[in-house]
Amino acid sequence: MMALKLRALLCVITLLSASLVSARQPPAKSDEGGDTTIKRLTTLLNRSGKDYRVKIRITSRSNNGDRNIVYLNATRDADPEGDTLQFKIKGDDTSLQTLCLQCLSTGGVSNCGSGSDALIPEPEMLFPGSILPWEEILVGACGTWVVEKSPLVATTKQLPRQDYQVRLANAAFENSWVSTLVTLDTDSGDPVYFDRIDHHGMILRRIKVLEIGRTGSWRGIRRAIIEIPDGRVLMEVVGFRKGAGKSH
Amino acid sequence: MSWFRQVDQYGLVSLIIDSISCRPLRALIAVLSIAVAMGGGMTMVGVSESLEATVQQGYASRQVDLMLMQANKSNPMTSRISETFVDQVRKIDGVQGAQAALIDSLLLDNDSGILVYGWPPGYQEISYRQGGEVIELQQGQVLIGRTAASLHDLTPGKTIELNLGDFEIIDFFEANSFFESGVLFMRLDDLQQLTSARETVTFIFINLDQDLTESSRWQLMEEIEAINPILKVVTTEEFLQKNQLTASVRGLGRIILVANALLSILIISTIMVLTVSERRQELAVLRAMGWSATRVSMLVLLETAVLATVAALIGGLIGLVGMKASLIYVQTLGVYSQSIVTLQQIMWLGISTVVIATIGAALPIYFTLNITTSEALRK
Repeated sequence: MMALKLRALLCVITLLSASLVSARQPPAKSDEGGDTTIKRLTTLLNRSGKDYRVKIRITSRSNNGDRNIVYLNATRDADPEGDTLQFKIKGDDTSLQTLCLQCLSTGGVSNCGSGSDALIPEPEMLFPGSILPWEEILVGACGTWVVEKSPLVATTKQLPRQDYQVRLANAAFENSWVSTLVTLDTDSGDPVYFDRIDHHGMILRRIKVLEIGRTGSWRGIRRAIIEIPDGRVLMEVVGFRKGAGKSH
Repeated sequence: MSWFRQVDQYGLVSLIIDSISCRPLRALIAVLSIAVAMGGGMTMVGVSESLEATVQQGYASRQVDLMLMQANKSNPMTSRISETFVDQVRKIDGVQGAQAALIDSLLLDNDSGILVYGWPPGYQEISYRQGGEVIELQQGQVLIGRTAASLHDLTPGKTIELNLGDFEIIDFFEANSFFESGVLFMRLDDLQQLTSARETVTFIFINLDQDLTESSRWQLMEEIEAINPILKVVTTEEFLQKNQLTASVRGLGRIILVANALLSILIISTIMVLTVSERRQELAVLRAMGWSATRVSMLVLLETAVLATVAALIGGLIGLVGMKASLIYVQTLGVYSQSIVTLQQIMWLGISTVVIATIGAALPIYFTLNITTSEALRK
């Protein structure tokens, strides 16, 4: 009787050990229906819903070699009625600008500041001190992204293989792109490119993902280069603090 | 063999060898599973210890006693303080020297990150030799460490792009430590311009007079912090404790080590309980022959200890191989470290072995103590 109990215990331990070993497996290369990939991409792209302060360094280099750097300090007050974002923009050649934006729950962006802070930037306008249009910052700050399987796979021959596309669930203004296709790394399953596709089916902007934060405070894209017709823009998260919103 | 009989006068060793050799597969499974579990834990502990020891070697070679940085920064690399503080620090009695440096992780044109140190004019770090003459770097020029050069396939004479700015590699620099050989050195003003960090630095490295007492050292630290409320002085040990990478690897390593040690205890305990239950009659015969319960228990404890020790030795080797492989991987993230076996690692291994053997033997010993002499007569 005792030997039987011991064998049962041994089996439990073996199963426990096996489950511990298999607990941290690398992502599957192809998952059933792409559910895991969709979940991972959705988590990566959408904000956490918590207060935080993030410092982003935006380095632009135009095709004629002009280089410019600007820092964006964004403080987020998360709210189910609509997050509030305080922007402070400053660079060597860019004087301090402040901006208050509210991401509306129904979609869209409204102002929450006064005076010059009250201006809502036009999406096609360039972000101060860079060659990046405001629309990329606005959709990054207030956009809710939905990830789905791409219907364009293997139908558009001039594009690299893109299995997924992302679209804005709360599009508030007309974007200059029609869809965003995602190219995944075949080994890690991480996104490598996000391609903004225009009305003619051509790549308007390519966001090349260079670093994704998996540990530490910032879990998301930490470093990316955006290739645009006028040049390249490097965006880097250089500082992050959780729960810093309400106090400011 | 007479010496063996003398050593093993009670026959304990012979009985242990006999027990293990009668169940070789069971012993092998126990040893290998514990060895793999301990090897995993030792890998993590080894990586954190090596990272810390390598960085520590770097500070020691620069004779850094204290580091001045921005207060309230959870990630020390994001510290930014005015470069003018360096002159104020140098004026304080007891300070032998102070060096300012701006450090940032920049993007190379091969899409990988690299640490770049910016040094002010006049520092030997931004000088190189050409035809016996010492020349200081010009704007747009960098020096490269040999590890960084081999990892990124870069050589002097090449032009590289750093955060979308163009730079020419002029020469190699002789690094003070293995960690620094994985970085680039450039002029402070170049790095400030490249990252829009005008007139700021990340750290000020401070060397103190060697004859300072502990109390005057604390007083001096307070004096330095009094220059400006934004400043925080830390010792190199405190800095390493705060470093996110080493702290997270260290923490994770200890958790894995403890979890794997618990798993090892469960494995060895189960194996030994099985062994004791199968050898009940044999152990009862020993009791009937006059062996005390303590001596029979000692037999079980020693057998557990033998298995745990063999497993620890194999686990240590697995840990060493794992540590070297992990550090090669860590290099691809831009962190350079030698694989260093420290006394602390060996202590962790030794303590784990003793703990696994002692606790793992508790349950089998409990079963052993319940064996009566009458069981020797049962079939």
